[in-house]
Amino acid sequence: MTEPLLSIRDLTVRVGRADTAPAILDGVSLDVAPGETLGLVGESGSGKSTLGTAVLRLLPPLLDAGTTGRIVWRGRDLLGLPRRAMRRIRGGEVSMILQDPMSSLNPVQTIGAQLREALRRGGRGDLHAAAVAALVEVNIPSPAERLRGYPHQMSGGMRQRVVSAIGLAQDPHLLICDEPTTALDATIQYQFLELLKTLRASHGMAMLFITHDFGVVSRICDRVAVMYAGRIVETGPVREIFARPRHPYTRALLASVPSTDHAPDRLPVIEGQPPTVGNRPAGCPFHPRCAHATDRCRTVPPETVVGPSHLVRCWHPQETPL
Amino acid sequence: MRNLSFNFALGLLALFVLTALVGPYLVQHDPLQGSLRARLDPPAWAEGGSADHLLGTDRLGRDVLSRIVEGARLSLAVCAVVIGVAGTVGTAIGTLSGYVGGWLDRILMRLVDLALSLPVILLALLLAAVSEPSFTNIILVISFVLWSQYARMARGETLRVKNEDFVDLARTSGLGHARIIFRHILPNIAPSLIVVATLQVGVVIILESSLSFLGVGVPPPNPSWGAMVADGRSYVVTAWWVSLFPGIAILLVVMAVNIIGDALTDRLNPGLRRNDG
Amino acid sequence: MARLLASRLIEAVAALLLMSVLIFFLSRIIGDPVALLLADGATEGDRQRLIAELGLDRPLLQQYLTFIGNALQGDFGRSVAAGNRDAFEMVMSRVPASLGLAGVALAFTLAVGIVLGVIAAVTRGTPFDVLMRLIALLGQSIPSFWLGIILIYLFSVHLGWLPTSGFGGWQYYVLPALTLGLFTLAAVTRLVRASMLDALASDYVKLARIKGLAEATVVLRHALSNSLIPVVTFMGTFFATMITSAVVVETVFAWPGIGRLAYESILSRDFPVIQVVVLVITAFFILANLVVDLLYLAIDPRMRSRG
Repeated sequence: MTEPLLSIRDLTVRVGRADTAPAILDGVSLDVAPGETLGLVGESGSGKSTLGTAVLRLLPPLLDAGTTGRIVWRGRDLLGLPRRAMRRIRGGEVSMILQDPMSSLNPVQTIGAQLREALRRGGRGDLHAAAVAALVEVNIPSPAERLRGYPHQMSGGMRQRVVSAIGLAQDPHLLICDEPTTALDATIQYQFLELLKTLRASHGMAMLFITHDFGVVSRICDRVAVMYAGRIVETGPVREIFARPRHPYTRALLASVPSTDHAPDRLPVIEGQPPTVGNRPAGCPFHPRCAHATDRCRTVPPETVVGPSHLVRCWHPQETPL
Repeated sequence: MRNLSFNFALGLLALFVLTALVGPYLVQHDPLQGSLRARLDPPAWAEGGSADHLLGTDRLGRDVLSRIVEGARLSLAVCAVVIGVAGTVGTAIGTLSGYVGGWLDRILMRLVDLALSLPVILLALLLAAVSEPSFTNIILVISFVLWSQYARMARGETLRVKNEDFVDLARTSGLGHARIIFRHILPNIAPSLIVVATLQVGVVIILESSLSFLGVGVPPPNPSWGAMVADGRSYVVTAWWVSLFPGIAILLVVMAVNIIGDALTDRLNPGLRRNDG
Repeated sequence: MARLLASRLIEAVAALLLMSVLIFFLSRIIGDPVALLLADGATEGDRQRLIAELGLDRPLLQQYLTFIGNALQGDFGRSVAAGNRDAFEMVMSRVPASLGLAGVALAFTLAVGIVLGVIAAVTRGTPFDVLMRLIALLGQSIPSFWLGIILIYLFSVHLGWLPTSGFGGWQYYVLPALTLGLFTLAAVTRLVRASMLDALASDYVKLARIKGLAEATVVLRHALSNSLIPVVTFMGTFFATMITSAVVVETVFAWPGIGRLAYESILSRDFPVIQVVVLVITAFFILANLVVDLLYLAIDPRMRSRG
């Protein structure tokens, strides 16, 4: 197996430095190989966005101070990196697209100014030409005009394409996508995913794709990690997970996706609400909502290998195909 | 931190009200009666001061402490009456405007906008100039400049409450307009109006003392804090205490009210200043 | 945009007219200018003569129209108190001193307030932030007439660094400008701190950081540029507050501006001068708000493409 690009080990993010502070992420480990797209799936509040932001060390000070574990990027632990070195990695090696295109562009600056700012750090010579080329790459019509315009003059889908142009301006090795399609209309969503695929191929980059939608995962990801209440409960290749989901939570999520071929009525919709940070149950965090829970589930289940690169954290992994 | 300063402010405000209510019965000296032998006596701890006049005396030999205590009563009275008058008028106009709507609303709100855009002190000075200084006049003057803030708040809140289910219910069950306003609307918009009133205590005190400082407020010899500061102005080199202490009194009360007003605003509209904590 | 401006202009003129009505009728109905103008021991004959001289025996509406007609030609009558000088000229000669003081105070307030607000937001929760908020609270609670006296005592009398009062070189500006500006300074600091905190938590600032920009660039270019918009929208209010407090501050520091003239003319019941002063100050008020609207259009591109 090739050396992973990004290797996260035992990442814990607490609200503050104290050991007793509530944890948003609780001992998360994952790898992203060069060129690979890993999907990170979970409900809101599962900590998946926190994970993406933690990689760039852009969490609010309180959470950054409460971050422990290791985030190894091409052999270097980002958690121990001086601020200046971390800044060189941002944008240049690891970049990110945010969820809401309406708020992620600065309203009082032109598109051109915001794009050139990123290109300049990428060391491009002719900034204007590079900016036009960057907009062309993300399929924005009449790019020279758009560069002089402001964000409010564009639609959400167009803005999100500008945001990805900014994200790719410095040719990163890894692009973290934090629910980039959630705020878009269904048809625009599809177009945008296709664009991301093209960009991924032309830039040869890896992606960490954060989403709550298994339908999106099936379109763009190679592997998937399912998060629940700050923990990864199951990881594996997308095909494998779709064919043989083992964790009851994964199965419930998959069952609620109408776009997959599984009949949605086979499994009941998950009862109850996911636990909030600070109120997470001991042991397997899913057990209060799980139909298969036993007393044993009150202790933390170990990670078990259940197939080729297919891992699950469950005392009662399910065998039957969905 | 926030709780500490809030409690501190509440304490100060309580002290102010208490002083205004019972203070005048406790002080030894007549605030209006001076003694020629005791003119410009320094405070007790300064050189030449005596325990008889804790905060010294003014140019007519009147006890500064007694005058500050009496001034607290005056300030409180002005605040209470002004807020009563401006609050009633403003709330009535605002509620009516919001409840009735239509052209009445448009006209009244233009009036409010205009009133809000006028230079406050200047208007007060003007009104004070065309009428003789008196307690009644100062009340009318300040009320005249402040009613618009209640009107704006009352209108906005009435519009918000007007379409709530319980008002609709009251309307369909045949309740008259007056009863709907008094039973259902006013009780619901009261909290916001109370916040406006709290924040205005500071404004009223500053306005009243500014006008009295300029000589168009509460007529002498009444010990308005602003007039006391003005009194001591010419003696600031030799007798700093005459101006200093009444000014501190104003500062403390206004600060206390501002802290409480901010905290109340936070509590009522958590979204409004969510990042100020 | 042109329509927006036109409607603002109409509003401004309407406000000015209404103010003139207010002043006119207040001084005619509530006040009795004749009684105030007559010397003690004047006879009924004197009284009638003065009434006729001032045209007070004509109907109110006619009086008002005459007043407005004259006013449009810059004729507001002559000062009663100050040796029959032309009231309009008298007021206009005082304008530069007031504008100078308000300008200095506003510039100082904005410069210092923005810097303090930014630092307070960036150092949120630290003792510096707490100190800034304490100072802001103090600044919003100190009565300006008292602050002026205290400053004079400290810096002029006690330390002897600055002149006590009057008009002259830059030294004369320091204390009045500080007194005039402190309230607004506190307001600007609070406003900038709050809007900076909003901006720093925003997605576009996060994206700026994702680009790998230096923290100073992120704070100054991205967060601050957005935080200045609310400051601009409040500038009109700030300027208005300053013009209003100028009455008190100019009186304390014996500053030869319109604020002190307003005070003096009101004390001497010099109605022709009062009318001009109030109208001129209201005009400044309205003008300031118009300028702010224009500034707002210039700074926020979202506003430009509207209206």
